[in-house]
Amino acid sequence: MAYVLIAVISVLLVALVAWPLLTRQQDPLPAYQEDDRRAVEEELQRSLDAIREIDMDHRAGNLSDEDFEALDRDERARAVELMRRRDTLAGSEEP
Amino acid sequence: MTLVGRAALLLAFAAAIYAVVAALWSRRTGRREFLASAERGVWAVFITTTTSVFIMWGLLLGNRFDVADVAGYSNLTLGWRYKITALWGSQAGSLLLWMWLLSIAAVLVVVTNRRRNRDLMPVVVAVLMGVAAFFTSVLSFITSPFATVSPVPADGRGLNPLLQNAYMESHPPMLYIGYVGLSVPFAFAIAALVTRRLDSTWITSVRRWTILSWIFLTIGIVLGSRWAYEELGWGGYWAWDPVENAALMPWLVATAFLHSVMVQERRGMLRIWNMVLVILTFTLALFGTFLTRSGILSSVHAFGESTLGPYFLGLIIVILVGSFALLFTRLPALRSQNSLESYISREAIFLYNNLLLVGLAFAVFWGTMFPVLSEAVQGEKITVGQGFFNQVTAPIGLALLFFTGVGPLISWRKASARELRRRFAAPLVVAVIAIIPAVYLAQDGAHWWAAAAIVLGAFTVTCIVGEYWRGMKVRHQLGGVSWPGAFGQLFVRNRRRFGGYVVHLGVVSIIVAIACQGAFSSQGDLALRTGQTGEVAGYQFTNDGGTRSKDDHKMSVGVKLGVSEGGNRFATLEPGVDVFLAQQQRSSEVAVDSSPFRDVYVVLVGLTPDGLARISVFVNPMMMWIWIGGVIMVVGSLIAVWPSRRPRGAAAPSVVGADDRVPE
Amino acid sequence: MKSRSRFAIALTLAAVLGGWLIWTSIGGSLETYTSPSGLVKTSDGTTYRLNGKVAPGSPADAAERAQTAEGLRFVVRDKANPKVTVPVVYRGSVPDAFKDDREIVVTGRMENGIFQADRGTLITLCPSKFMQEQAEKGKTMPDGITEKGTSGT
Repeated sequence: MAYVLIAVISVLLVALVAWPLLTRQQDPLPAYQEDDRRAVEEELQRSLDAIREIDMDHRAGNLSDEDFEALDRDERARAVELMRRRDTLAGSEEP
Repeated sequence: MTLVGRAALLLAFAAAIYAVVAALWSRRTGRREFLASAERGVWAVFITTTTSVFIMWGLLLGNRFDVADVAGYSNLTLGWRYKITALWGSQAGSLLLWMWLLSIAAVLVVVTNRRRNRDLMPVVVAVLMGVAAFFTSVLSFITSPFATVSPVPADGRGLNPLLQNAYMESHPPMLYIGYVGLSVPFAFAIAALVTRRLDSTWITSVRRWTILSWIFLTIGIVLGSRWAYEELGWGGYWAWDPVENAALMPWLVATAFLHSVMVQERRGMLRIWNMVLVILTFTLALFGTFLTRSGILSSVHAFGESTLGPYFLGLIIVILVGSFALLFTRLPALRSQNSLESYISREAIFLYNNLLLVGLAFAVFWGTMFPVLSEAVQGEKITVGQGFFNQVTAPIGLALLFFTGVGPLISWRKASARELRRRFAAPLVVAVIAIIPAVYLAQDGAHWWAAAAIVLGAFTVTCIVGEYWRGMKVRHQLGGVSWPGAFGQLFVRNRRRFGGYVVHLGVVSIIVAIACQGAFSSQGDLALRTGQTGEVAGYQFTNDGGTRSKDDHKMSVGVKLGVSEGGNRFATLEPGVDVFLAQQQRSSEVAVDSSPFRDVYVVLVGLTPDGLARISVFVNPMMMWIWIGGVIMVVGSLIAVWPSRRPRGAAAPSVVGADDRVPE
Repeated sequence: MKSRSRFAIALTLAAVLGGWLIWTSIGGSLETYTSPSGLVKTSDGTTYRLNGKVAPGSPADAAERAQTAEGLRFVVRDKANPKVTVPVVYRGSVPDAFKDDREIVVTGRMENGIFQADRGTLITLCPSKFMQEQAEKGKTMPDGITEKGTSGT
């Protein structure tokens, strides 16, 4: 009884694992571009969050005017750079 | 069924090996159907491991005493809840739990990365399944949970009474979830190194898994201390036992990582350091499992000497050498463009905090391993007393407390002196005021570090409250929201930051409570006949009479104690002792009267037939704030990780125009 | 380059400070692990962590005795060589698991052939292993599940 059970389980598992190989199932998505775009998107989101946070800190009095100017300028430059990269990636996808 | 259980574990082993091979093959050849097959292999490992776990539970619930672990850790009279718990009472069972959790984590990784990180996944699957192959091979060939005994005993030996309580039901699984969860960040880090995709792709997955594991580790550690406090009956909660240290070390390094990863996100720095931290965290998690299981160190709850030590040590060495060799070859790609501009900046504070946390983890490691090292070097086993740990932890903990307050108030890159003065004015005033009671409590400097903890705690709390206050003020003025609304908005708009501050408040609570308990607790023993009254630390205890009872499992004695202070009776405590008949094991039932400022903790040592009760009394100041602090930390970290509902792209600040700054 | 060297100096300083902290802290807390056999040879005032098993004949009301002025008196015997024993006097809290044959660790020093234990330092080892000891004594288990049987190797 136990042996039959083990055999059935084994066969089912082999079928489960081998299925993609038999059907030559492909990943639905292209690997690289999608991840690159997501990475840039996430980094851009973080950069935008940072801009917002810097602004809040300035308003709250945590940052002096000149510190704010410097930080804000650099962070915005980074965001612009990230947006450019995002657009390049989006462009490269189209044939 | 034991045969099916063994077979399921063997199949899990085979599936794990197959998944490693197929995943690596798919990476080598680029044939994606092999990756799909490898991911199904992960499912196969999950299904087979789950099968064997449920078979084990079936055997425990069915009182199948022909199985060694059932006979050794359960018996006929054990309640069904503890029969479930008995799974992780035995060595093989606890490794089976580890493996099961790992298979669950691996399946979660496969499911959540169906459409992302596709080029990392082959390596991620290979690493996770490599670890799974190790555990399934140990479970199949070295210590099987399905080992049988003959002749079959009529009844089992039962579960250790010390383990029969709600803390022990939940504490080991919590720690194990934490340990196992840390394998996922490790797998992603290795995948990023192997594929050279070292941009921020892997960071998001890694951070989320680390913080979730961190939460479970925190819960596990706090529950473990609480168990020690309520069940072991020595008035304390932490003894720097190797097994406690084993959980603390990965927790400390994971905490360091969660801070330094922010520097990487914001400034692109510390990328090598973060890799090192991820690798160390997982290694320490494995090391924790190893310490508990190997028996190389005598511990309050080591599981006896076993044959597992060399295998675990081998795995740890392979992982450490392999990861660091890989990291070394990728160093050029990890160099950062930015460098530290000022020693008084947010990133610098994070760096200090990291050095302190990792330094503390190292000191704990050193103290824990000292007996082993000294035996290897000098041939004499020399242990390190608790004094060492306390002495090292006190200054480092205080410095961490200081940076917890200072860090959030210092801006990125550099802070100007004028701003610093302005921002730290209020916290400094509060700290100076706090010096007065602290000096009074310090008693000629004998308890200087408790006094310092109080002063720094007040300072840090003021810093954090100031942050909330300034944030709320801006929201209130900007949006015209009510004050409570502004408070709520802080958490909605910036969960990570303000949730993180909640965690910090919990940390302050815990550190101050630990310092006060350590410095100002008092202890006394009393021997009281019925009707007699004795005094410890200003509290009077009256023996109101003893009780005795006996049932099938245990013999219990107890005593009624009236507790009063200055003639005002405020509590009746009933400490007792159970003697479990099956194991001839004593178990103290301590009685505690908790209040925000102190715990009165009473242990019944013995009750003679003529009514003389011997009791030990501990008065622990501020104890409650350790548990409250733990709850605050968990709540805060849940706030911080809760997925934000921000609609994509909405309310993004305009990047180019400088005139319309964040009208939210 | 200047900031890099400054950074290196700062790191070195931190490492030295940390090392110094560990060094000074460890100095005062070292205790040599020893067994009754190791203890017989010495009688000086060094602090030892004595590891061994409680010899049969320990008092049943151990916890109560440890609270009295005379203290709890029991004998520790060597794990490897049961003939070598050391008498111990101990005061303070006694773990629930304390009883004959249980493995213990206790801190103290030799004085006139008696191991004077420090207050509250007695710990017992391995509560999860207690079943095997029970089996050895054959108290509750009718059958012979030996260590060989349970380890599954």
